[in-house]
Amino acid sequence: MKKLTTFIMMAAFAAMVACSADTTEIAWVNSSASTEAINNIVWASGDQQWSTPGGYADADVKTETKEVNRMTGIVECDIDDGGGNFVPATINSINGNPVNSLVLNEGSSEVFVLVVHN
Amino acid sequence: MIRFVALKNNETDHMTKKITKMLLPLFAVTFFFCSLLAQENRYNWLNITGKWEIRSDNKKFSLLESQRTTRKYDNSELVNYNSIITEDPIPDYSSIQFNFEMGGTPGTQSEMVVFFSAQDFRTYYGFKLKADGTKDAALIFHGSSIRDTTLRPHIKGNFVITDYATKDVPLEFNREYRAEVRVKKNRATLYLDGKKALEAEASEEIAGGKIGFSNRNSALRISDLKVYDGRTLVFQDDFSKDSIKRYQVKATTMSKEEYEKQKKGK
Repeated sequence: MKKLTTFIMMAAFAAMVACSADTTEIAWVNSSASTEAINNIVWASGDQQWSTPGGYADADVKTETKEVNRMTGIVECDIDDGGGNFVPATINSINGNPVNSLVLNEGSSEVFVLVVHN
Repeated sequence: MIRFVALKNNETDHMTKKITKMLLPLFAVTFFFCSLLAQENRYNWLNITGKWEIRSDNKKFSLLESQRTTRKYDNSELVNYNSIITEDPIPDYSSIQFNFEMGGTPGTQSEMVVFFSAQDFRTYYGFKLKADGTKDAALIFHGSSIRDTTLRPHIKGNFVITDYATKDVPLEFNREYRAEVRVKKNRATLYLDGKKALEAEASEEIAGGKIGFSNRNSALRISDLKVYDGRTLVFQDDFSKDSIKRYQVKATTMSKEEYEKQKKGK
């Protein structure tokens, strides 16, 4: 009986740990409405980074989904001006709101569609 | 039969002429508006970093960098400052003239750079002024080059800054100066209010290229920019129009399921 109680308690603890360890993940899409490819996307001052030498093309190209640790942060993008010169471009609006920061829901998996223009 | 065909040809010719006559003005108007639109989309400048904007104070136009604080992105030295660069290269020039004012609180270390002969963000020459407004400023003629040309452009820190000459010059904050950069072969000279401030030699001939300005910590104001090749004015900007290209990113968010659903629907 004692062994069974210990086992149930351990199982409950393991279940609690498993439930609380929900991962939060993000992916990005560079919309075909963009005018440029995006070479680098940085979440929350380097908490996570998506990078590719050729850039994520402005053709609805989706980045890999990555796990993030910070639930709030700003988003920054590096754009190659076409000559190997990198111009940092911050997000200037999200869903039409003039903000560049995001608050994520813990355990969520979200896709952000980016439109780069000038 | 022959007469009938001839008549028909005449009729066709007449019709063609009539259509051409009608369409020509339409083409002309379309071309005019298209060229206007194309002109509107032409930018003089590219905002690399910081917040460069056009200001009009007392009917005087200027270019102002108002973000002041910088961040070490490290793709190039220009990116590490708040920099702006001409959108197109200027093939040849011998003189760059402009007004500038470093606004700030005396005691705060601030820097401004006028750079030229820029082939890209990592290859250029420039005059840098490091000042705190309380004592003489350090004026430095320097150059930036790519450290390892075999590395891909996205590699950070792949550039070298070489200082060629340094001199201390008096400089006040919140005072406008007229600056002129003269370039000839591999020699560059900076004049402040008409007086020679620093003359220096680069390791190679200073060719044409893009020009621009960088700022760190000061409210740098630039106005009345004129670039000459000999006596020929090759580029100018009185900053009366906002001609700055800025990359902006707008985002929308959706759940992963929502995205997959939308993708399947396409």
